Amino acid sequence: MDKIILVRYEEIFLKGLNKHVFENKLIKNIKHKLDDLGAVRITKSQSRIYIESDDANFDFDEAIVRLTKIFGIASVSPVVRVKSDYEEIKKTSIDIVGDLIVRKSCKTFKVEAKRGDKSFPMNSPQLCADLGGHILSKFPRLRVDVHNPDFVLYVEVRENTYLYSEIIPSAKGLPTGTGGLATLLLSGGIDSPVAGWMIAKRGVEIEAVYFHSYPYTSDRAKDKVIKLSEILSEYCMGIKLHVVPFTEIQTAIYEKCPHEYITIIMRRFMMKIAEEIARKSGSLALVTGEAIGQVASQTMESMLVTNSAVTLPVYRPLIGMDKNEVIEIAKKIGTFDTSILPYEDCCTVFVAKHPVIKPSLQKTLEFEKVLDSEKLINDALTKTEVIKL
Amino acid sequence: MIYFDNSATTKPYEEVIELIAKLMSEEFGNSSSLHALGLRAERILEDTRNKLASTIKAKPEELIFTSGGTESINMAIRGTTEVLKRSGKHILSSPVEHAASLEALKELERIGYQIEYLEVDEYGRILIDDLKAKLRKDTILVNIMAVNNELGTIEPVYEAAQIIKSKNKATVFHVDAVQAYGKIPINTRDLNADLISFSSHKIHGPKGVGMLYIRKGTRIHPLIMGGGHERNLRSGTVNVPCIAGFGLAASIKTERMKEDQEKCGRIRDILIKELSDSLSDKIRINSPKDGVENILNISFKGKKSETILHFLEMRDIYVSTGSACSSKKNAISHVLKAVKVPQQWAEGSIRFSFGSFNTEDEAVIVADAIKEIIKIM
Repeated sequence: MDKIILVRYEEIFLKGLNKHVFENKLIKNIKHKLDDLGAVRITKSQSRIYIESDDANFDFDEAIVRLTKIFGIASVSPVVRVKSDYEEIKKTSIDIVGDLIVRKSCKTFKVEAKRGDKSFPMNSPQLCADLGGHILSKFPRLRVDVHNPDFVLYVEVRENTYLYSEIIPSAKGLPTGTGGLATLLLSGGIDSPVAGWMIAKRGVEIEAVYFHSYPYTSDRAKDKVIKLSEILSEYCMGIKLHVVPFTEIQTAIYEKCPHEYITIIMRRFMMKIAEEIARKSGSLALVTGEAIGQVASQTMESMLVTNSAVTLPVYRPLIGMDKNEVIEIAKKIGTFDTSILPYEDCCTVFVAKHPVIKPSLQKTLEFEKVLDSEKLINDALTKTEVIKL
Repeated sequence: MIYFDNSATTKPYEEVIELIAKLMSEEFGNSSSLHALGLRAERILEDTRNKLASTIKAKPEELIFTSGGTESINMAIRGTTEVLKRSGKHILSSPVEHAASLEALKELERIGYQIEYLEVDEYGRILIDDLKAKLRKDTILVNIMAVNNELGTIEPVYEAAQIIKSKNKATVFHVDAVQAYGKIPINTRDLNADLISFSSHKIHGPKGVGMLYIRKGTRIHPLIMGGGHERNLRSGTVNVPCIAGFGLAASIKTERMKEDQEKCGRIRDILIKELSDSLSDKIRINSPKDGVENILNISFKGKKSETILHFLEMRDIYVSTGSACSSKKNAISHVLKAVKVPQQWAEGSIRFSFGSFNTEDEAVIVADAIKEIIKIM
């Protein structure tokens, strides 16, 4: 009897002849993520991936936690594998059920059996009925409920037989590294980490750019962004964080541009800097957490003006989402609690009381002329700190 | 480095650090152990108790050691109500107390006590007439700090004690002397308080240690139960090395109190003069002229205090603020709110607090730094 982990994927099925490219990338990513837990053997069979370890100290629980965060994996099950011998199957079923009853105080169950190996003497319905009956005989207090059972015992008979009761939903998406590289404008807020995650989910590698305004904002704000990047990197294969010193640019804009336009102009500078960084790293798109109408700089008119600062495509995965929907995802992926820590990433000194909500591109360009944009941007890029997470 | 944040915490005296290290290494016994090692630790503990008692003219048995000011305050407040709950539910305090007092009182309010707060003037000083007006025969506890940590205001605790005791001897008077000890004289023969809280790390002693003075005859219920240490009033293995450090720091500090305070006064005056001369109506001095000399609270009009703090830290100068940058608008300290400092001033308030190691030269450097910073901002 072996304890192993079963990994299922969904969308990779649809990849036809390229399926093995995605499968292999997924396996490579899994190996990387489980590397420090011990020696593992990863095999694929019939569009599933099996992970096992001969290491007695292998932390299965930790492995499962990490697996549920790997893009490309649809669900994970801790599985017991036995020979396809009915006596063994019966005995193992009893062990599993007994353990479940103690841990979760279940009262009802059902058996779902699938017979993949046609040489096995019983067919699926027979297997369900017989095994179910056997379990009832050993646990007289249990009842069968085929509609809404407290637990399901899954039995898959193939070359070996796999028994499990948990199907743990995982991050889904496509394996990181199958989609290219994108550059995320990351602030300490709730939205941008979620935007980054949603793009990463499609197999895209992410690098992040954070604009730091010390001493107007504290190093705690920077720590917060580092923490958010670390949380995101649990889902990807590492994230490069570029910390761009933004104080000089902010002060220049504040001193020389009309008050209602400072936010829009700041955002244009951020986009330009992000695009420069993207160009250097071979990234194919920028990613932001913008959503229509959320704040003054995110009206359609404003986004038109900020977008025209760059030529790279800008992905805005949250564009049509409500704040509540974004918060739900933030909580699910674990960034919410860090995002709501009070360390501001933009000092309120630099926020106009009445920012323009329908800026004109023409006026914006006029106002920007007084700034030595090239020099400001180059200075910021030269002093950018890169942190590998 | 220029460290002007001594009201937050202080750097221990070198001799204190040496003493603690020596005792941790050589006298690590548990003062409750029956063997010689324990006995030696106990002797050190009791010697320290005597030493500390003499600095406030108290009897050694009137002192209990705790983990710091916050614990002492909680012990005083909760310990008193537990004993006097049948006598009444009325408690008086002030709105400028430290969070340790305010939160302990809030908790009592939650379980049915009636907390009333005294009126204060523009420096946070309680109005004696209001104390007289609000005191009742069934008031069980009055809780007032001797020196306010944000503004440096000295509260009239000696006078308040007389008033409280003439109304009703049984009303317990607790004085929070955390910021007062070593800065103004605390004399338990003149100060008619029943309970007084002290902290070690504000007077160049180690963190994690404090004491509670409990006047002979005053009963309180222990906060922490266990092995019965400190006459059953505060269980937990006694931190002898750090308490000894506290004792040494206290004797050094109280001895140099007068000269330290005079020097702090000069440092304070330099800052006030330099800043007033260059920034005149752009600054507001929130501290009273007759407050303790080691605390100076100044507001800078229309500036954000946390930004000033970070600009100063870039120059290796450390201070504290009366407000924290936050998306929540109510990030202004409760003390500044209570004395009604207008919002645009309150958001730019900085607290400079001096200690034994600061010098007048430092004051000049800091004043110059501030002038530069305000110009840039």
